[in-house]
Amino acid sequence: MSSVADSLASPACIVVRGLSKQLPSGDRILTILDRIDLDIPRGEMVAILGPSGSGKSTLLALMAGLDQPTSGSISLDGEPIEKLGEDQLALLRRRKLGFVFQSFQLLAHQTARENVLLPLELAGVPAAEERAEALLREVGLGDRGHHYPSQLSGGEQQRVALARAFATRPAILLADEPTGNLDSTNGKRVLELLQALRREAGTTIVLVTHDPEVAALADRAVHLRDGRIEKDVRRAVGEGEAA
Amino acid sequence: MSPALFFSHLRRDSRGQRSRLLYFIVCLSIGVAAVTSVSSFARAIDQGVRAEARQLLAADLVLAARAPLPQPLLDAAAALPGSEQVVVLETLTVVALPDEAAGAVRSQLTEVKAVGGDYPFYGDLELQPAARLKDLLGTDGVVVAPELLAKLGVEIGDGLRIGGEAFTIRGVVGKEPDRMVGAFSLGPRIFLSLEGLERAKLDQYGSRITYRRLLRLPAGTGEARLDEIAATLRKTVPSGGRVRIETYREAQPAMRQGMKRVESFLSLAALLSLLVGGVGVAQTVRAWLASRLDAIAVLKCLGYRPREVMALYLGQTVLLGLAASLSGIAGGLLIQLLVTRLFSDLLPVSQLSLVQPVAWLQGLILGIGVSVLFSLGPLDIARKVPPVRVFRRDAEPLPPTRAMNVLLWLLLLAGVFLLAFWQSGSLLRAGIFSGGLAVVTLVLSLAARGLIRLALAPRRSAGLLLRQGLSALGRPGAATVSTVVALGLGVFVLLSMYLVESSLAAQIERDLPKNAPTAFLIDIQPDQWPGVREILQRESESFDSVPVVMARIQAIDGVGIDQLAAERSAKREREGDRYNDGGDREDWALKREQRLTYLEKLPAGNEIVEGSLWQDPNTAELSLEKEFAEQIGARIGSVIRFDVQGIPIETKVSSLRTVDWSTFGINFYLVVEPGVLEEAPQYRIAAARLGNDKLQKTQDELVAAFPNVSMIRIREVLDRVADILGKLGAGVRVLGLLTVLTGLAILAGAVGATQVRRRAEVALLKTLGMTRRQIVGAFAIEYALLGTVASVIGAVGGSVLSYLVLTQAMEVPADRIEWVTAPWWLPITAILTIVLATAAGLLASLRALAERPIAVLRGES
Repeated sequence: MSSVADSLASPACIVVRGLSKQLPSGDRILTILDRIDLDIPRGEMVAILGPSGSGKSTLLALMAGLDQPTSGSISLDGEPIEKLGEDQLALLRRRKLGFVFQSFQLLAHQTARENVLLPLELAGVPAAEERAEALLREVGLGDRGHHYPSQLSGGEQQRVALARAFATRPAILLADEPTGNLDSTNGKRVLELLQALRREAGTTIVLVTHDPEVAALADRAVHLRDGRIEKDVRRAVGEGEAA
Repeated sequence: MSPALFFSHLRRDSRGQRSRLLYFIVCLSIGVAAVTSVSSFARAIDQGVRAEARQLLAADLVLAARAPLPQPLLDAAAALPGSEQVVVLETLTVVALPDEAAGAVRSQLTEVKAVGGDYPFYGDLELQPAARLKDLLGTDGVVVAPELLAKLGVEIGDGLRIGGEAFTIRGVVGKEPDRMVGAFSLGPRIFLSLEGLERAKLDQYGSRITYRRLLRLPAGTGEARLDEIAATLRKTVPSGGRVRIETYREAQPAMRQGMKRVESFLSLAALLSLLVGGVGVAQTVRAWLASRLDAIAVLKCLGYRPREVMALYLGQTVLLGLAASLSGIAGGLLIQLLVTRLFSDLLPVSQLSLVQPVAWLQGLILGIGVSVLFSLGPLDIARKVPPVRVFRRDAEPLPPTRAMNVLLWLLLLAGVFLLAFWQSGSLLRAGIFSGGLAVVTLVLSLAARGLIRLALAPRRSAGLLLRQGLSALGRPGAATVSTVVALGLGVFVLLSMYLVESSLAAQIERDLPKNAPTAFLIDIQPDQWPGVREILQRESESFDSVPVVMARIQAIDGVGIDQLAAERSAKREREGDRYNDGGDREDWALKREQRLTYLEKLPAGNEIVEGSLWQDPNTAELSLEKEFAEQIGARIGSVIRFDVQGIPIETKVSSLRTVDWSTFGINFYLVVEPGVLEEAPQYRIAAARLGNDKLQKTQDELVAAFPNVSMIRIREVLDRVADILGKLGAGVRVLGLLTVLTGLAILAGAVGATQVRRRAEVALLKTLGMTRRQIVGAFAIEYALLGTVASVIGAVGGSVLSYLVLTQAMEVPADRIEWVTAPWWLPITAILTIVLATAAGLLASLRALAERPIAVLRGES
């Protein structure tokens, strides 16, 4: 696997080494992830696939610094994160990470515009209002900014979530089943947007899915099974767009 | 995060909190209303007393003493340029109808006020007919309170005999400026002129004359000049409390001090309902945060730091606290308006200002303080929400560590102590308050935990409804513990206040010992005693009499009284109690005029506990009541020097006694060995047991033969005490009731917080075929169980507290407390609480009960 990373010219954006996660379950120990090594170059879009319980979401959570690994190391954009405290992790997420979730996870009591505004304000981006408006226009919701999530359809909510995730032009976007709760038309629309935003910002994307169609859009598919990497397939450039 | 950004996020995050707002406000605002209304009242009365100080004193400056005012002082006062003076003498006497008048009741004990000149200088004297008091009185006229007319069946123009001399009733007096409305009195007021007083010889025999001199200074005398004059006058008299020199600037210090004490107690009672509201706050914040866990996880994903999350929710708590406090302040204003309307005749001043910004600020700070204090625990959860919850819904915040828990509880206790200290102004009271509260809360929460354990234990034999109701208590988020604590505290407070007060009232009402005297006779001159004794021998079932010598303590063990008082007040200041009752009592015990008697044998009910009686033939011995000895700081062997109306007499303490005061016999703190005081100026008092039918007759007979002898009827005095106690008790009970209301609001709120779960449960139970009646039954059992635990613990705790207060602090013998021997209050309290709790719970579940099963199961609602 290291040969795959070495073959790329750009330095890896996400480096995972010997990553394990174990959880106590009753009186025995459950191994969720077992010594994972993974290098993801800058700008690459990686799909993580696998049956449920294979450790996909846990891997994503660990990469985001949302959970502590049992052993191993992760570095994001050159910064090792496993030693960082909660506050430092929060600041790192502000600067470098964007998230998209299966269940959208918009803040219910905030309007679409305020949801997009939030990461911009936290990062202290100037002219945050204008940028939020522009992002909403980009996802086709320019006139829906004052609506609350409950007034939007699932597809619209996920587009707001995309706008929020890309708001600060994060180096890395982590997506957990972004189309899992959407019908195929809306799912397709969201994926197109994801691609477009990625091209514009040069974002590295790690995307957990079990949908082959979604995986087909990625540059590379990492298959997990029982906490280990079973298969790591990189496709030729352009194949994604062709699919 | 910049403050501007913080507030904009705060504003956004606080949306959709309206339902929460209402509940939070109800819980907290009741307590804030209680706190602000007590504080506003105290402040308003204090302001009123200060504003009307001149009227309440009827003068700029008053000189007063229980003995004729010393000549140097009178000379100094007379030398004040441009000042005017009025002499006022007050005493007690029995007035009688003239011999020729008919009527069943021929005599009445009255409070006499003899005034000269232009009394009063300030304030209004309500007179009928409208005329100057001086003109009405003349030399042989009296002006009397309406009650006296009613009691004796006389009217204006009729004659009265005072001290055996004839007077004519010339008018009726209503309000008088320098007598507190609603103040304790022994009889109706009667005004006469100084000449009249002299003619009736009331100034010759009376042992309890108060001599006062009212001064009016020239118009435009500044306050600084007034203080200067008071200081100059004070220099002419030796200090030691013999002569009181009071300016209107000091505005009734004794009364204001008394008010402070009442305020200190009522503030704590009010604080309690606020603290119970705090339990509701904790519960609301907990439920609120539980519904925000997902949002908090998202915020953390987006880069919120834990402390920023905490600040965001703490900020909202403060805002909710602010809203609740504001509405509480409005509620307090309403209470104040009502009370002012209802009890206007009991208030000492005519105008009470409703605008009390300091009290409002106090309510605001207490309200917000309690909100923050009680939400710290739940807010700690917000800080700890794991962000990974965005991936795994089951990722719950870690429970607080043991150390954190201990810290939070200590913080809460310290906060409660500080608030109690602020409210009561006494470290001791704050300590007792917060310690007692902690114990009761602990017992209540342990009982609630026991109930939950019972609820979660497997039960096969219990019926369906009982099983349902029980298991509901163990349901997640059921807030069983906080509901039981809040409701239990409410019952606890209300019941203990009620029991203490009603027992005291009952004690006064009924428990006069069988052989207790029914009347006291005072001011019997030595040469009158044989005649009085003859009447008593004829009319009474039994009687008893002792000589009384008035004296003041001059020195204890060679240390002068002023130095002793100064040392004590310095010591108290070091100990830091702002209003220490004990201190006031000590000073009073030291400095007041003492009543001494001399006896060969002690009366029944006295028991020597230390030393022995009259054993040393070489010294003048003194026997002291034990607690009095402690108050003045004397022990066996102490040498006490008395000033017996100018003559120093030295005695040595040779025994300490306990006294059973409840016999109502004649008892003295100070008893001197016979052979020491026989030649001193003295009078006698007597206690007699007279049948109800003989009381009036004996008084009539006594006043005819010995017009200066006053008879005080114990029954009437006790009735007045009971009346005042009842009025105070009503105020305290209202505060207790507010606490119970808060407890019920918390129960309803706890039920409301589980609304979603309840609706799903109702839908499911209906789907499974349970009738609506059965579901109501299961819910009712749940609330009734809560009410049962809360009321039983609260009632038992309240009784224990009242029992301790009554037997330890008030020294009421246990077998005289009716509710201990016949505890009917326990079932009544329990049943009432259970009914109220069930009703409040069912009311709060109405929406859930009306749920159509299909709607919930489809997820429509």
